Amino acid sequence: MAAATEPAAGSAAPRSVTEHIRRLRGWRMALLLVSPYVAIQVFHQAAPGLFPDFLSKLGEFRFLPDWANEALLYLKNEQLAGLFNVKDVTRAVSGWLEYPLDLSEQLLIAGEGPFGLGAVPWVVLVGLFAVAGAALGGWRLATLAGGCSLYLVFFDIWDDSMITLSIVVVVAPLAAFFGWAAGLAAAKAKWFEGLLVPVLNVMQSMPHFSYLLPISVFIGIGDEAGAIATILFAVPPMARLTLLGLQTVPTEVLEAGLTSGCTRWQMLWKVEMPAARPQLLVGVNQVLMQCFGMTVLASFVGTRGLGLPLLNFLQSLRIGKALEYGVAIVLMAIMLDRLSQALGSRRPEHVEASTSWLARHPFWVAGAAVAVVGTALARVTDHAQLLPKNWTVSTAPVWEWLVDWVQLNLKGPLGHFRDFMILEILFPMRDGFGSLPWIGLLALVAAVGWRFGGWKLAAIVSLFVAYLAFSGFWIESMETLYLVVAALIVSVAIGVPIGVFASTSARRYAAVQVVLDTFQVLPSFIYLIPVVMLFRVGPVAALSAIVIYATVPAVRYTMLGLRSVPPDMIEAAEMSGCTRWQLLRKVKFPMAFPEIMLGMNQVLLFGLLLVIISAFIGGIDGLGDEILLARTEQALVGEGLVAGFNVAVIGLTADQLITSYARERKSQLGIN
Amino acid sequence: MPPDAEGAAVSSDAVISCRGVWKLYGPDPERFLERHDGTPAIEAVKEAGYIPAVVDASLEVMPGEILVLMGLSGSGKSTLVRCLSRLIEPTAGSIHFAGIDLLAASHRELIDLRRHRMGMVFQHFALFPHRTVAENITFPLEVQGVDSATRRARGEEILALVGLEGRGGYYPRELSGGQQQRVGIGRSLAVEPDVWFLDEPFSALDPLIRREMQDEFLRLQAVLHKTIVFITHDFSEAIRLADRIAILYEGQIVQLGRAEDLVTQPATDYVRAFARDVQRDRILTARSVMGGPAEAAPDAATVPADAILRDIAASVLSAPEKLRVVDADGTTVGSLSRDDVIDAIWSTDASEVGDAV
Repeated sequence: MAAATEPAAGSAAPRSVTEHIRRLRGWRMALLLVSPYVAIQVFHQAAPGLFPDFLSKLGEFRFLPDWANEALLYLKNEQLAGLFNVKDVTRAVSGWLEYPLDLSEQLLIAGEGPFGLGAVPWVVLVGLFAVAGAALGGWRLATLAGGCSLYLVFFDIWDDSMITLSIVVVVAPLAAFFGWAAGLAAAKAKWFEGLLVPVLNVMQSMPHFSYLLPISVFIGIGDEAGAIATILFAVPPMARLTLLGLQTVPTEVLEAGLTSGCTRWQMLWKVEMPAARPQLLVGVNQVLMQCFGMTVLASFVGTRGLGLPLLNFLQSLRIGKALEYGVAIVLMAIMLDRLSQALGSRRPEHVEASTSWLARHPFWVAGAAVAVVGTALARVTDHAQLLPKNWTVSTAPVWEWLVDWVQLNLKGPLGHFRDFMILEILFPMRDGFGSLPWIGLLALVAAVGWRFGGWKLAAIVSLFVAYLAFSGFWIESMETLYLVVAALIVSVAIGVPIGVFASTSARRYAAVQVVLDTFQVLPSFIYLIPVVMLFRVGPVAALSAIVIYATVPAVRYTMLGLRSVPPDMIEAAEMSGCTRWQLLRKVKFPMAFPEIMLGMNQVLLFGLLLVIISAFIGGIDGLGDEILLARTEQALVGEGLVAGFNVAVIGLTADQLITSYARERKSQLGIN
Repeated sequence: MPPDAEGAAVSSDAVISCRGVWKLYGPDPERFLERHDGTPAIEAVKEAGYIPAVVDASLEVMPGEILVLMGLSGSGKSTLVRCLSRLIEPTAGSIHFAGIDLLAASHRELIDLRRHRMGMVFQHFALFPHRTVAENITFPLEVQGVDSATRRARGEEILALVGLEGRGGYYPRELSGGQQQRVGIGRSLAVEPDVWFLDEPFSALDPLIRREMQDEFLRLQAVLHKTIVFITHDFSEAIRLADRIAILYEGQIVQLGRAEDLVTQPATDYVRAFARDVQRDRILTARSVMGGPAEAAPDAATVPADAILRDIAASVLSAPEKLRVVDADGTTVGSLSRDDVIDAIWSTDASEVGDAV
């Protein structure tokens, strides 16, 4: 195979041993790469007495968490460089945030607002959502937006959802601005890009809690803490997309601006920013969704809104109420997502110069009309201001009954399944991962890293594994990793066939795409609700939640990979007489494989994030447990931070290896 | 007329004149050129790992002429034209634009030059998608601070000039490819530039539209008399439009001359290969294929020396004897037989044609 792709020039020159190894393909290569690991493992198992202990486990090293705790204490109590105290600074920032947060909350729900204005009546807000939907996406989107907000009103979730919204409308613009500024700076200064991109990589692979923990140390708990964590959390995607947008402005367009005689300032505002508009708006959409998800999750540090009641209902196992709040979160997420997406995909269209102002701006007029009529209505009847409790409905009793029924009638089968999974599969797997000597894992990732990224990558990933070994949380890291790997296997086993099936016709493809898009926007801890209904707590519940969450990228990337196989290549295979199975196995799959690997990468990252959240439902050990402890125990925050960083390091290791592999393989296949 | 690749004296009336322009990509290319006294051999450049985009290019663009830079992709034609407008900073050489030393110009001066004296059309149109057609066209006026009433009036003029009346309020994506390039052309003409750069303006269009746009271009030039640098990879387009053609190969100008010179006296096999497939009857003039003046009878019928063969073929082929070739003031300068014409048009080796003189 290798000889065929390399013409005669290669065979003439004598090759080095590394050249030989680099040319190995398929199982030969795989065998070679795992051989150092196998050797270490065999040695470890066969002669445990001879194997040096420090190469196996370094569990007693706890200096990193201690340092982290001391550093936090120092930051909290001491003056930095004799000038300011970090805690004072963060308190000041949260003070500044308090004002806009109060303002938006008063406007949306609480009343007694500024300028003597009361809260906006629900009739007006629902109407405005519908008008916004109509303006951005026609009557379908208007129905969706209006319907979703009516659900919130009639299921008596209006107050909580408006509190969440009032936080989102304050933090999302701030996050978008900071992200935009960072992206712009990176696009203009090469050295800053070199600094920013690795930071973004780390930030985006840290679990949500890594943002919440330090914030709660410096600010305490409440809305402001959640708001600050949310801003930090939502900045990276905006920065990344701004950078991408500015870097992908076509050269010709830039040149057109230059030859028109633009100054640098004019280039930025009249050429580059407008040209990057599509990516910037995608960024805004992502910021909005991240903010929404994080605001809900910030209930863990006492932020009010939709998350806090959900958290309480879940903890007290009031599944029915939890489900209604879950649906509210889902609907609101979909509404915000679709509205902001529609904003991004809007294209300008010409209007006849003769049309009147009124006819050119129908939606502004409609919005104003809704506001006026709705406000007037609210003066007439209080029902239009705030829906009375006895008009609201709840389906909670139905769900409670269903859950009881499931617990009563399916207890046997479900319990058996759970026990089997735990005893026969998960625990043996956990023990296997737990007994791994760290030097073995290091040898494995170093070999793979060397193969696909040379010595530099090998050094980086080795450093990552060494960090894990010395972090004091090696065992916990392995306990987390095993669950994610188990979920990865199940997700791929489910997701890849779905992806293959979805790619067989354009209609299925489109249908599955819609489902995936919807799943994607849901805040992650929604996934816990159905799982808790079935399995209560423990590793099987966590595994199921991760699988539901992480199957989405597995399906998406499989579809993406299969779809991107060039059509003429498929035709060539069909004309060669391939059966459908042969076509899949011999042409489509090999071509799509790098993309599917990228999908696995996503599955791993998604899994890592959710495994931490799953710790909340209890019954699983690992890094998530450490982080959860830190939430309630101020003295353990250092431990929580190190554990959170470990999650990021695991994610980054996998990410580095898999993307290097995919990059090399794609260039070999001539994709992209 | 010999190829003009080696430095002739700088004519003072050239609009653009560039001497010994180099563009190398690689680490610290200035030092590399210095080490080789400014003129390394092309092999040495490649050996050292540099990518030679433009190699020692010298040319002049005369007022009102259409100079076509012709070459395949990667031949350096786009890089060269971007050096001429300093969109790309040359590694070495000198460029004078209307007497101004372009490479010594400050950022501010450069912006001024671009605002008032240069226009450029791009292969993929490079329109701003968020602006209407009229806003695209008047963009160069907007950035130099022209008031909106003047802009609107000028916009209407240009729309009429490029045949897009009534489309001013449309957005680029609502137009066809040909119409989009009309907008691109309109934008490049908005400031009434002295020099007009066109970078493969018609390459992204369908053949039929391309032909229509070439006609349109010639019509505009007949009205506007701009000084033009036009890039193409299509030899027949070059021949249709050019006053002079520069053929580029691996960053070097291998030949610079009229279309007829390229066909009759190709400097290299590379040029010969391009010239092989052209329709010679459209390029060659009577002068370039005629025999000695003594061979024709003094009372024979006449053809003008500068007429292209296509226009006189019928009369030459139907004449029983050799015709007299006369120049503008009626002096006999040569003779033309049927065989001369037939050989010239159907000969397989282009170089033989010129030898007939």
